[in-house]
Amino acid sequence: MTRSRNPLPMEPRARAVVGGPRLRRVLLVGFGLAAAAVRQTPATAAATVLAEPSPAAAAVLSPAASAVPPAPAPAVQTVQAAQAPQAAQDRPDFTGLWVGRIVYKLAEVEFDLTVEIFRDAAGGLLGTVDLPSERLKYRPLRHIEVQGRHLSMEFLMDSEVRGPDATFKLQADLAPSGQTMRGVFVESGGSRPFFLDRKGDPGADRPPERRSPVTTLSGQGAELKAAFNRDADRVRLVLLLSPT
Amino acid sequence: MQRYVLEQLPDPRLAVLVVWGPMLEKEKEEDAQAATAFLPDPRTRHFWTGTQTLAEAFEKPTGLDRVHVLAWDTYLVYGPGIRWGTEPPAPTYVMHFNKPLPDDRRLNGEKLRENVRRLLAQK
Repeated sequence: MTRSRNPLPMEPRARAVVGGPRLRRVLLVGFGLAAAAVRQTPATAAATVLAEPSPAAAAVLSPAASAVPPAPAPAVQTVQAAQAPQAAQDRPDFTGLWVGRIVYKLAEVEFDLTVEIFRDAAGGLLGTVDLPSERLKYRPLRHIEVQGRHLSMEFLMDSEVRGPDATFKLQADLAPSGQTMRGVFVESGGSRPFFLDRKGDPGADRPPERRSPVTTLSGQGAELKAAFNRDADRVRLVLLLSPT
Repeated sequence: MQRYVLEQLPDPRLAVLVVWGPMLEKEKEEDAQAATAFLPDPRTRHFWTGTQTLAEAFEKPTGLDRVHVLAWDTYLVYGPGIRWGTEPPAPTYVMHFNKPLPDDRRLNGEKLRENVRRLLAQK
């Protein structure tokens, strides 16, 4: 019996954020590098005002960036934006813990994304990127370059499509509030919009991972059947998913 | 799922049963334990199977039996009152990801949420 799993060659088994835990293999596929980046927490980063180092080529943002859905902004953020001091707008600060999403297709294929940017002792920008669905955590960013309110950076990741150590770029504009970035995620097959919201200073605590108990099913899945029938008076969602 | 459906529909009359399994034939139970972090909603119960038995059993309810494709990466919605007898029952609504099923049932969080919402409203 033929078991066809992957009808679409470029999207073999990508799972949307809405549907599964890992969004592997839309274009980011099969990384194999150990996520060995060492997290560095700069003591001085939060208070440092970005001095705009000499940029190399700041990337031109794709019009696709405008397709990024508006991030739900808490009320406090709106207040912060409205009160953003002129100095902050003139001297953009990209340091911080940033959380957002890469949007391949809204409500269908989205990647959660965390970026942390800080300054080293010499004042240079360093950073890491997390793609939880790819099990990518604290992967070092490289070639972090700033030009005005534009930021570009890249990271390496093994890809079944792109090969080992494929380069992926993030290019963004910082909003006047200094609290959000929007831009494009670029790999050799194209670009997709992403957005990031500033959640804190570099080194800020990240949300703890919350795991739940897992029941091991017997051969015919009697435990699932029992749970299904026990909740017969409810609306039930049954998901059959790969955890990787 | 968490963002588009569960966070938007905090209704306690919704239950979520997730079966983690070896779609790629290399997954392990510890992978399932780690994956539960992506669906932390307390209405969700997580199961692990090391076999293809359930994915085969759900081929027919999802319509995948016609093409002999295991029912991994499928999302089945059941209205109240439906019970599982000798075989898994047919869902009220089904979505899929990259399966040879209708494109309009390709997984979309907003569509899935509205179908769940409709069922909850009917209760």
